[in-house]
Amino acid sequence: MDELVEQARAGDREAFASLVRMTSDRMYAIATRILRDADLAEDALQGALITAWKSLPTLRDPARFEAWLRRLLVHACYAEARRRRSWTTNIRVLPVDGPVGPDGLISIVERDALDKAFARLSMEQRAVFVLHHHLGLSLTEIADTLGVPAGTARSRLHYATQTLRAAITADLQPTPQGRMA
Amino acid sequence: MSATRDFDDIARAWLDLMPSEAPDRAVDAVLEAVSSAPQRRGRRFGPRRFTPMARLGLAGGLAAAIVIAGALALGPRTSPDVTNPANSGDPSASPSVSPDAGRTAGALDSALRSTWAAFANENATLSTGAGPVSLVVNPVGTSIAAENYGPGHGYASTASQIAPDQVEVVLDRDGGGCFAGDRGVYNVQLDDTKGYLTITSLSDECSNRFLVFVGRWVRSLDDPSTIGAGAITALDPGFSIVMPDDDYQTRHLTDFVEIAGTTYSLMVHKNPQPFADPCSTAEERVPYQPGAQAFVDFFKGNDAYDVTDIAPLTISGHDALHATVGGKANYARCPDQALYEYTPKNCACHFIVGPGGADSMYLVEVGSDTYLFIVSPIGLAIEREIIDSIRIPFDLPVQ
Repeated sequence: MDELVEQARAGDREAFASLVRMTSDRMYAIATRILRDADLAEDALQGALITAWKSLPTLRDPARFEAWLRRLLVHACYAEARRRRSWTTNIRVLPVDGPVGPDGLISIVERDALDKAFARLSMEQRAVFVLHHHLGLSLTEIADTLGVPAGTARSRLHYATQTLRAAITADLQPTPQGRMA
Repeated sequence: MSATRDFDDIARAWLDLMPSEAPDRAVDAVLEAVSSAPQRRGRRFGPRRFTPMARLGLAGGLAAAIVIAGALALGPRTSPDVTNPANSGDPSASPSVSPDAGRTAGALDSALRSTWAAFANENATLSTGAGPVSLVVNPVGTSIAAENYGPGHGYASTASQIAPDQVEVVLDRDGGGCFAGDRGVYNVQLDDTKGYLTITSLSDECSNRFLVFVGRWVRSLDDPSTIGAGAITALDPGFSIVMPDDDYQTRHLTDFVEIAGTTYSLMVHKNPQPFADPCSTAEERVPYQPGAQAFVDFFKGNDAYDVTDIAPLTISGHDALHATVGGKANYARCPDQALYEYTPKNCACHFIVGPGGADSMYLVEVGSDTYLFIVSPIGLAIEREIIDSIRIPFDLPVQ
């Protein structure tokens, strides 16, 4: 990949097209998980990749291309969320076909609880949560990707985890009124 | 299995429910956009007109450079700390500190790492015509180069901060009448907003670089910046603004820019034109009517929107109108859907507002054009401060 990055940095559009094909699925996956909206994710992906092309000459270390692109993508997600900010309180949940989750690990109740709780998180908290749980990045890697102190990444992850865990717990507890009705 | 482990598994399983394949149309759109989009190599400006002297060749330029160098009486190479009062630049800039004070070589101060813009007059020595130019400090603060001065006159140099207000530059390669390794020391001063940079020369072995680097520059917010003060020149006319410092990236569409930070952002639209039907994705536009009042009146007369807080005001000396325009939360014709709101007249794009969402709009009459400024998120305490800092039209500082 480094060689392609070097070529793209020098203005080779074919090389950049190869990079786009190599990374677009991974980047789109991150964007859909942060934004929870296919259309917004598509816009964020496009914005990040076009910015990447324009700004590639400023990338000094080709080995950091994907981390750099992730950072651009997360910023693009922030921008998309701001641009259509009212949707952050009216999140459209992507349709889910087939089994609820792999190996039946997640129930419909849990999924709904997580959907609602995730919608309450800030974009910054969502980004940290997705980078950690979806990509498996460490807090140091997340901090590096987002350009924030490790402590900030840690507190965002802590808050997000606490919120989502509480949502599952609450939803699995029968409420007196609900059960009595 | 611990409770934490259980949650991690559930979180991963939940995240795995989302799609992971980018739609082909998204990838195709990127590749199409890239096929015509230039990379940022400081070529934001159109090509400058070069004077016929450029065809005279290097010898003529060199001779002129030598004459100019003599006339400028630059400090001797062995005494780079001698200030040159003739080049003291902006009188409003803060006073210099002693060249030896706090001398620690390193990357340039983060506030200097930007693309800087100016308007350069015709220069016979450099064989250049008049036109906009830029000075690019790379994001890690280790290099500086001029752009749009013509072949060989970029003077790409390795840069280091040798004092709080001094930088040292070492020319990377032969060219433009100078030689690799030529060393220069410059005084750099930011104004209070950090939007303007004044560079004066203390010494330079490359006299042509002196001609290019010295002067007053404005921070280009058309390029990535961690400082919120500067100017946008991608729109015509351009404008200057002061926003809080943040990690800004700017997006450009035709007659639209968005300076997007992690906390604040500013969207600017030139000559906004409403869509006739807020529920339709066909994006049919109402006939364009110039002026802020016509734009606001359209939304006032459309039952999909709530328009409040209408107030006339003055921005940068121009008549302006403020209005808060919100999309109705339960608009009967397309409930729970985004409303197609407007587009800049010359842009093939659309801007929407979600149900229940609202924008605080500032419409400014600039000559025959109407500019729409939106600071987000809505309700910022510093919204008016940002808007009031706008200066439009904006002229690049002249070198």
